[in-house]
Amino acid sequence: MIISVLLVLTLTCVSVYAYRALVRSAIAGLVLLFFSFTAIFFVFFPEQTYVVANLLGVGRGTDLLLYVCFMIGIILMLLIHVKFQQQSILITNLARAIAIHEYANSKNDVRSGKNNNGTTR
Amino acid sequence: MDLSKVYVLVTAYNEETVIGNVLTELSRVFQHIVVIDDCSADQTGAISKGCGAAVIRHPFNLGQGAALQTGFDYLTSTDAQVIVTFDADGQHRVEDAVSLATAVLKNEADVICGSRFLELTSSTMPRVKLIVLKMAALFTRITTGVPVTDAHNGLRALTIHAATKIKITQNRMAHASEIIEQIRKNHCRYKEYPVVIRYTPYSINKGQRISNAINILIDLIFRGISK
Repeated sequence: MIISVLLVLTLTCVSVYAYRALVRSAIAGLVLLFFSFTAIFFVFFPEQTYVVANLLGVGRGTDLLLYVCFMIGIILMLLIHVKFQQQSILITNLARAIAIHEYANSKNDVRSGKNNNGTTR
Repeated sequence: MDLSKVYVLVTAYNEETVIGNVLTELSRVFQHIVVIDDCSADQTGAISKGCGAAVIRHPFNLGQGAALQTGFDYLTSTDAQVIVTFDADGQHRVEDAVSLATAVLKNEADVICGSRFLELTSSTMPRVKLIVLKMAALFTRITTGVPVTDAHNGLRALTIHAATKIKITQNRMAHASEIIEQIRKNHCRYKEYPVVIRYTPYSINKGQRISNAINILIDLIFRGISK
């Protein structure tokens, strides 16, 4: 089936990415590796999702998949939000440093008799 | 009282129509005025310079919380002893700024915030605004445990020492509650003073829109999560 080939290809890419991510963060890399291998397993043995689904009290394997996707989506959103927040603090600090630096420079220029173009009057 | 070590910190974004008057009034009493121009698209910066204020301009718009922190960062490198934060839209009275600054100079507290809900009555406050502000103060009281009556008043006076401890990370409007929270965390001595807010059509229009209260709440909740 074409869909199986596509899914396996995509998941292989994810596992390669996860393997490389292992260097940066062991936990994130391992979790991602585990998920991609499990997903590849379920591509070949889709009926096995029922076993897991029943274990968790969900009726069908496809429903389980939907719930898991939903949870992953929410977690990713929160992680991205945190990351974004950290970035924006860095950018703010940088902008603040530039603003104060520029003001200090302009004050020095006035003292040393330079105009805005940096040339001496 | 000698006000030569008191620095007035004015954060401004597109306030060209009023900032000239505000700074002129302030400069009659205070020697040092620092304007943080939050990348205004109008003549706010030029007018402020013309009034003799030190003007620090953000390279892009960051929000009022970020502008206050820029001011605090800069002022720690000066000989300032007391910082007074003052809104650029003309809603505060200079005499209130003087009374707050004097009280901090007299060592009555490390941080003194103006409150429009103590004794003095502010002129023509819109009714909806009153309710939202009271609720905001209640929310801050509950979440921080600091007995504030007016969490969103831009008029404050604080010692330079307190300013070095406060680190505002909420760039937008949630900084007001954040400051209160940090006051408690850093064990700063806190006090409120009655002040009058001048509600002009301009300041009502420029000021916090009521709907923004929701945004502030979301900012505060998300800050809790990202911690």
